[in-house]
Amino acid sequence: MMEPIRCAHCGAENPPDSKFCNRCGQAIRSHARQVCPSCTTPNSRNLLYCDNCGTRLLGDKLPKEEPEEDDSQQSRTQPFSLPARPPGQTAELDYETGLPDWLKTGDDAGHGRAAEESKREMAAEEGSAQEPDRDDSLEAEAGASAEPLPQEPPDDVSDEEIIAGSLPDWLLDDEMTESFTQSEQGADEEDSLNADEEEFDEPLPDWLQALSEGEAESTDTGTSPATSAAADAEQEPVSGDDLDDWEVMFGGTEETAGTLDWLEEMSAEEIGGASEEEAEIPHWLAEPADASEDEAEAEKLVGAETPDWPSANASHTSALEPGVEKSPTESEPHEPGEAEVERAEAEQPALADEAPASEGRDDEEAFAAWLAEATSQTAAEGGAAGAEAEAELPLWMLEDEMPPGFGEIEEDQIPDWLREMSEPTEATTAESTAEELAAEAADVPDSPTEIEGVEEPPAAEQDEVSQGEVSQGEVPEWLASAEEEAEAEAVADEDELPDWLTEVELEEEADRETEGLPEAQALPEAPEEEEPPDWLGELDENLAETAPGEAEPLATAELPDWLMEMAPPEMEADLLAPATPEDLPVGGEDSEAEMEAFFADMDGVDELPDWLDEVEAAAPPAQNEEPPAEEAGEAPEWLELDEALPDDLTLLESERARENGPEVVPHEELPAWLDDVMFELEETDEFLESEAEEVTTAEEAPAAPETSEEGRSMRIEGVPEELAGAELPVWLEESAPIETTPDEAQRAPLEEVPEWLRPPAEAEAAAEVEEAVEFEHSGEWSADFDELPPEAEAEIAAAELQEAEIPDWLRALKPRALLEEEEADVVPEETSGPLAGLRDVIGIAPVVAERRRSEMLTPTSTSETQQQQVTLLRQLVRSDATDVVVATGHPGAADRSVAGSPLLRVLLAVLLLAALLTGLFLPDLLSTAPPPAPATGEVPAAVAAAAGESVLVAFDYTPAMAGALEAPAREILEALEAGESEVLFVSQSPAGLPLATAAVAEFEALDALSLGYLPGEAVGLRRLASCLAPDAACASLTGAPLSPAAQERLAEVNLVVVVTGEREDLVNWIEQVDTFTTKPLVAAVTPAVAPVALPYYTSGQLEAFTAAPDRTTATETTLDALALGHWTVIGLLGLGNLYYLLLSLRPRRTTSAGRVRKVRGEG
Amino acid sequence: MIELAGFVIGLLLTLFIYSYIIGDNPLYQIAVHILVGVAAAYALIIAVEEIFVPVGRRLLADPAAPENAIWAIPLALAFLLLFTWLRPVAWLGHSSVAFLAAVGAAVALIGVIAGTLIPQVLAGATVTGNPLATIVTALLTASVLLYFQFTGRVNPEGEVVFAGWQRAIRGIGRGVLMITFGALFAALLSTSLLLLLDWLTGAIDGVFAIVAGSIP
Repeated sequence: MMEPIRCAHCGAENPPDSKFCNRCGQAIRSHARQVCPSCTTPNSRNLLYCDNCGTRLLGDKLPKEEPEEDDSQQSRTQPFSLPARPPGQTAELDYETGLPDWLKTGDDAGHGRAAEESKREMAAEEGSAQEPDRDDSLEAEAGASAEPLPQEPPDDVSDEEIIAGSLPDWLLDDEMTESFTQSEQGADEEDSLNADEEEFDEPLPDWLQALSEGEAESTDTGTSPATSAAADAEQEPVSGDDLDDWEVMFGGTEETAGTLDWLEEMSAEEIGGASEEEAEIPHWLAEPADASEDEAEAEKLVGAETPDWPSANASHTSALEPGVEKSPTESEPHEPGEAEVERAEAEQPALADEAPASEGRDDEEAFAAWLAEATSQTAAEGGAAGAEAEAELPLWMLEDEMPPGFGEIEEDQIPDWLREMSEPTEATTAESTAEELAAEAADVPDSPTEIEGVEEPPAAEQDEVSQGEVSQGEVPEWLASAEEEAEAEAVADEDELPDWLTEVELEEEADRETEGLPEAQALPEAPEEEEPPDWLGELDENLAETAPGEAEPLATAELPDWLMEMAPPEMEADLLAPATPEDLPVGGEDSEAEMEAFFADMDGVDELPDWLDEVEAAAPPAQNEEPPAEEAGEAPEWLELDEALPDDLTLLESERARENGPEVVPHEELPAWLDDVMFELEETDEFLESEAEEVTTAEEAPAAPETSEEGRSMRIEGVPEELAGAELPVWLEESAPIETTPDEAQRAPLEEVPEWLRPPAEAEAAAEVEEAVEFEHSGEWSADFDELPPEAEAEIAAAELQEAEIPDWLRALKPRALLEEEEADVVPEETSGPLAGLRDVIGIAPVVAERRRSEMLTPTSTSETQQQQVTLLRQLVRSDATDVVVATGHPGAADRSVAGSPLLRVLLAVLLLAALLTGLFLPDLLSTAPPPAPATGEVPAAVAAAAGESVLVAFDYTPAMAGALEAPAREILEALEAGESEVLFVSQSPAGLPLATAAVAEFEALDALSLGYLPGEAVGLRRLASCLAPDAACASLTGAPLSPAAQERLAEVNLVVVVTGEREDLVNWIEQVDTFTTKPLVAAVTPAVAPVALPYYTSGQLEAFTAAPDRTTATETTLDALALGHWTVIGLLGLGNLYYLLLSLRPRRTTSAGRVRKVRGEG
Repeated sequence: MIELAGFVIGLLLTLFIYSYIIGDNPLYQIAVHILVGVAAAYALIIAVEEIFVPVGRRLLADPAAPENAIWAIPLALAFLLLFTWLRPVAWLGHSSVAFLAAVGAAVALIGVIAGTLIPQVLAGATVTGNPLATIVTALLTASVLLYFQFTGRVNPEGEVVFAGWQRAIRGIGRGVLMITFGALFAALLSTSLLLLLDWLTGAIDGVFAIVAGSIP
């Protein structure tokens, strides 16, 4: 059964026989199949031999004639790097094919193509004279031959537009920052592009710089630089629809420490006075760590450090759910300003070309820009601190002009935490103690209008928001819509919602029910009383100790709205419900069920973003410093979760990596928000530097392994082999919780290893491992787990990672040889029966249906002699004996023919016949005296002695012996007739009975009775002997009733005469009758049986016997002829033996013992 | 006329049989088939007429009579022999074959010992008056019997290996058998030549008689 074929162009699966992709129209044959070199039949890649002609398919293992195969494979194993062209070949860069599709379109399928296209480009660049790779390069070649790459962009499309369509939005983002400023200065778009073209080089990362330089060189050929076109694309920082998650993370959602330094530098240069140190860490995150710093200054920075991840979350949500796409004018109820409309109009066309479904990003941009403006304004109000805060913001957040829809953000769209951040910024000039902040935080949800630029939503809308849906009311519409869309998709909903949130919800529901507090009443009455989720309990307790009356209201208020948004509606209220200490994951030890629930929670915890750990790592531990409640409130408490459960996370992550690795690693299966957040944690600058390094390295030595420090960060060591060669996305490295270690130096050696692969090196971790195993698992593997050292755990996790489902785009980076092995190992699913859908099902039916071979009882072994005998017997049976020549196998023995040729036999017959005739016609030729007659006794005398008595005569001869025995038989009958004996005759031969009847009939005076045919040979004779007893009364011998006369004669038999020509008959008569009776026995036999009869005659068992022919006259003549015949036979036998004797003296012709040869005509 | 026809038919069939000298040929096979077929058919007729019909009559006449009922046993055994042609139920006929073989072997063994071995040994000692001849006769007979012993130790090559004394005795017995068979073959050859001579004599006489016009 043929497997569907995946289009190498768009990644879509097509039927096995498809020649063109059903989705993109590309030729399937050249992309997804390997063509037989012999018959050009397209074959599936997993075939080694052609399905049509059986020719071995070249596959990846080709090749002497394709020497770049190794290079191609090496390119596969090279760390993933963005496409680049050597400086000298930039003129050939085509914007359609020079950039991968995933960079142009941002779809997920483009990931898979990215590696392939990158590989093809590298292969093409490195060896243009060499034939491409058999698999991919060949296909690329086929595609190239079919559709030559255009050397020049189409005339009707400007270079800028092409580049704008080729570059992702996030790459255009910084460009937009520049062009945006210029556009505000009144420059038209073309001018701004040209201006950006000049200004773009400095802030770009190296690899983009290289690309930009290449494009700059291409201007000589009439090609505009790619980067210049990005300016007119649009100014949106994020395009979640067009970009993949990691791309979104890259460009549009960086919000935490270490994000896009080059962007910050740009903003710092433009704004001036920015503090790089502060820009490293968002202030609102740094506050808990720097509790000793000036609170007022810190609070000023809070607003400036507004993280982008809400927008990233929104963008990602919209990206995942195209249905959420909304244009600013459609989705937002507010009316944009004129400047915004103009800008939007300027941006829309560029976006529409490449991302028709990207309108939803406007929301995100508006929101982010709004945040930037708000914070910048508040910062301006705050003075110098505000300036510093602005410097920390990403450039797009510092734009003066807000994207369309910015001013239309409704009140309920503002998350609480944003309100809280805005509150302190407004109050930066006033005292901001923890108590005040707590009071303000309590008021924030109802006063979104305090934030500048935000229009107060209609009162009707506010009224519509129920008190029980406060949290949801805080969610912006685009988030709410995203939630609805997410809810519509059950799978996405389940994946995105961490389990621990679900667990918290359930527990909180139970708690509220116990307390009798209606869900609807708890929230509106006292939002301050809202308690954080259970997993925040520990932190909550710390806060309570510090500020008992302030921490609780702040806790819930700081619960990230995106988490609230992701939670199901029935869960949101529970999230706001107070948590009990028992609900804490680490505190529940009462029962096994609780432990299981705890681990279930931990399964959700493992979905926590890693950037939380990084944030925690960046900030000093805040627990001991007892930050004020305000700070604790400002810094979302859940950010400190990793402090409470750092090891747990690590532990559970490692366990999960073993148990459920495929659910963790695959990019597609990660919750969207987690995926997004993890990407945000990417150290973009390092990544870009590494990418630039990669590009440089690839240009210089593509096959050289990555050894630079920058490139090292892009690799994961200790991962499976097939993954190690390829460069993994950063999110894969960051996907596991980062173990926070006080000493960063200790982490340095492990940086190359993904966090979740790192062994719990600490004894504490080992203890927790044991505890966790004891709680959750009582299975068999727990013992093995205990015995395993931490390194072994990592190895196990890495080993099981091989079995994880790798995303397609990552799979594309995998060496093809390994892919083929993997495909070869895949067992087809069961398609029918109760086991349908399962793999690796043991095939019982074939075993049952298999015909069992009956075990024949054969001899243990046979010798060569036995084999020879068997062979000889078979040949004797199957063929004429004259054709058989047997090699005896004995040393010195000659081949012996069993019989000669027909001519020889005729010759022998003629000789024998001639001898006999000669003896008949020339009786005097041999003067042979008759031999002395043996002492046979006097048969006639014995017969005569039985005259008048009953005599039993046995005619045991056949017609073949009739010529020799009829004469003595007649002589005996004559004597019996003459003696008037009563005769009973019998025969052991069926044919002898008519002969006896005929002979008896010749003597009319003979009183004879027939006993008939006597079967059974010895047994029959034994039966007859029993009837010869004097007192025996045998009414029947063979079943036929005997007549009374026969019975009487049988009982009175006094002589037994046997006429036979067979030895056996004579012996049986002697052994069975004569031995057990006292009746005398005489025999008339042929001369051949005479030697047998003589001993019995000698021993007295035979009364007499006769063996000579009775015809005397004939006997003399016959004896002469017989003697001549005997001499003839003796002479022939002597000649024959001499002949074979001479043959035996010749060298043997047999080749081996036991071997039989047939030599016809050999005598 | 009938005698002349019989003579001619007999002559032709005899020539057909002798045609085997030049090898297997249709004439020889025709003669053999005719001989075998006629003999088998005649034997069947004799067996049915002499065995089955009388037994059947007895059983049908008075099956309850003990002297008649006892004949049902051999008749049943003979009927079971027919199942040997049917492989699935061939085992039913095996009992009959086993019975025949066992009874025949037992009767023959007893007859050989009582009718041949003991009388011949005793006769060699008493009649001939040469005890050495008796001992030699006994040893030769024993050696021939031991020759037919095929039980032995199997060596690694799979061959059945006998002890040294066994091999010696087996060799003696093999020699005795060869001499015996040689004598029997010579006697058979002599008998055949005698028959041939008799036939040639009769043929020559017949030809001469035909030539002389003595045969009507």
